[in-house]
Amino acid sequence: MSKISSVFLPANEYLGVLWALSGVKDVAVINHGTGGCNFFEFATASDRTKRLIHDRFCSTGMEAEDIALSGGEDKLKAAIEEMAQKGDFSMIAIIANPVSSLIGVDIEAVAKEAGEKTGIPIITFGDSVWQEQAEKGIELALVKLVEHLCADQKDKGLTKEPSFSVNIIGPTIQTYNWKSDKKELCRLLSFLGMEVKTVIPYDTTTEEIKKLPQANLNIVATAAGLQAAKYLERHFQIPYIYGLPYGKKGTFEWLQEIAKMTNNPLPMKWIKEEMAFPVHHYFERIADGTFYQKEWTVALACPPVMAKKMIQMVTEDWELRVAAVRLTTVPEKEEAEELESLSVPMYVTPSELEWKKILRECQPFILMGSAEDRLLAKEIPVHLRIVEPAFDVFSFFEGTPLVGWEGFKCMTQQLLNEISRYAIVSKK
Amino acid sequence: MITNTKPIKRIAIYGKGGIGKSTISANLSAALSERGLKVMQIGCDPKADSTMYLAREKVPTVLNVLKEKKNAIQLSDFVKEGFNGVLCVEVGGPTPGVGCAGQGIIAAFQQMKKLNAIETYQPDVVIYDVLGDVVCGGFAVPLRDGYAEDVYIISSGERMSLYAAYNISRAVQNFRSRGYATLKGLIFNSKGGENEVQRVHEALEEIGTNLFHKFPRDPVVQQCEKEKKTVIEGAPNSKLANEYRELARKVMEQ
Repeated sequence: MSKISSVFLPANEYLGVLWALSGVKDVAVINHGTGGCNFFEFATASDRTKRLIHDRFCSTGMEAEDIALSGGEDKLKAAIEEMAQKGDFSMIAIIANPVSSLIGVDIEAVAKEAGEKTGIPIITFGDSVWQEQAEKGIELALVKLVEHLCADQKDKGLTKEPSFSVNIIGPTIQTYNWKSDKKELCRLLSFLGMEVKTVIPYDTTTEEIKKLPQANLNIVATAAGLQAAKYLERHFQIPYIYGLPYGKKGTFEWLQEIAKMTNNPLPMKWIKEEMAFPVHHYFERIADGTFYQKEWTVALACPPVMAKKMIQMVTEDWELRVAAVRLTTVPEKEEAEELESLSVPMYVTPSELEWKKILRECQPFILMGSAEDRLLAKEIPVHLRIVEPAFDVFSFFEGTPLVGWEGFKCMTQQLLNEISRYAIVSKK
Repeated sequence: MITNTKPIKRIAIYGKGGIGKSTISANLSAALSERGLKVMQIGCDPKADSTMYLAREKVPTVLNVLKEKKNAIQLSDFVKEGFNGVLCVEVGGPTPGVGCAGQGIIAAFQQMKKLNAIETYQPDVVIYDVLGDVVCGGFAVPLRDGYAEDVYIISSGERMSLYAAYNISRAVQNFRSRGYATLKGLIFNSKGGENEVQRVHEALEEIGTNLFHKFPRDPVVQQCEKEKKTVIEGAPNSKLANEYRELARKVMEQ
């Protein structure tokens, strides 16, 4: 079967590094290679990204003679010096783009020399950032940032925050709907007396990263954040919880787990109020009650870290059957075993044609996934957006989360509206 | 992950294609293994014939195995034991006419690093046998990043061979300020010919290095290669075998 990707746009490690660094506001990023030979410039030419990377992302603009003769080392040195002279940055990151990576430019050595000359810390992402998927690039950037900026914090006499503080590790500028999700997570955690300090690398600075070890708990939102969380656990004894809360029951269980980890009592009165959402009352009211049928099935497309709680939400809160799950990245061994135990047909990173065939065969009524999933299966009546890429939706408003109880309500409301719309259209 | 605690001698041998660097590398590996050392020889030439007379057969190349097995690749797929326990590895190269051989070396080295090849086998000596006709970024990788510490250039008195030697020495010199590998000298592999010795000595002066060892022209090499053996294995009592042993002794003294 063909593995061509014309809908599932492949995002590699290099892109993941760039997404991660976009969120660290005082890091200058030098892309060593030819100008324009940069998928990132094309793929993320949006207002959201421009604002984040304006004036701190640059290309050394290698030309034919640089490629053939010198590897453009002089241009790279000049770019480092220029960025350092700007005086706006605490750190410089250098990334080898396809051209410099292919010809094997020794960017580590150039960085070392220039770092000594300019006095500015430099981290490098050399020719190894082409082997894996974007998730690994985010992981690599996170680990480098944390190791570089937190390593000596131990020697400086670490003081914990007076209030119970939490870091969230993993979300990047590419994470769908993050602003809304962050707001809901902050709200939920505040009821446990916890405060979110830093979200890395979505929206942070090198100074904030240095303070990561001061937190009491890390919440790992994506698989890409796991290694950085493990580093902080190993060196600073900060426990972490992996995954975010989705669904009515899922959110409760997530809060229970955090409360248990941190020896915090659960505010049950508040929880009771939050969970009093009569979902089936609304289901029965839509489209004259004729369209709520138990045989409606759901197909899901999301990363493994999200899959378990999403399946739980669909099956236990909505009481619908999951017909198929497309895991957008490869799960870790333990994660795979856990997902397998749910007895739901699960497909790990299928090709476009494979996924299209699966969807044709299982004919779900609802497809929860990305804009790419919609392109592949327009015939499915109801589409809900839960992951990137999400180029067919706006998400500028902070009040439409996916996580937590507010997220559950939002998703349920959106589902009901979509079903209602389909019911009306199909009656005509 | 296994942590390697013992010191490893890391050597890169460069030279123009066809000059005899694989023959010398393989015999050096064999001679070192006779001294009780665990040797890993890594051929960095798209021809992938560096270890042929050690392994007695073509060793599957890292790049071919990688292409075939992708993430399922294992060290045992491409690390093969040859004469006297010498570990044989061939990086390989792209399909002729396409791809980039230098990038092939980069990709293969990354793969070996990812699989902890050195940490797993814990050799005493690693020998990189590198094609020196082209010193692009990829072919220069063994000189960088701590892969090799000592560099030897093999050359005859032929003009093209000395030209390659000069280029390789320039690459080493360019990297000197970065604390990478050091050029230990030129190994003269005699092919005969008029004024050969004189030309080599002039080149040594120009390059600014010393004559590390000289190998005479000897038909025993061809005789052993017919039997798919190194000289150390095929003619262990020959004068030439002793020359390789002498080279091994000198290399280990560096």
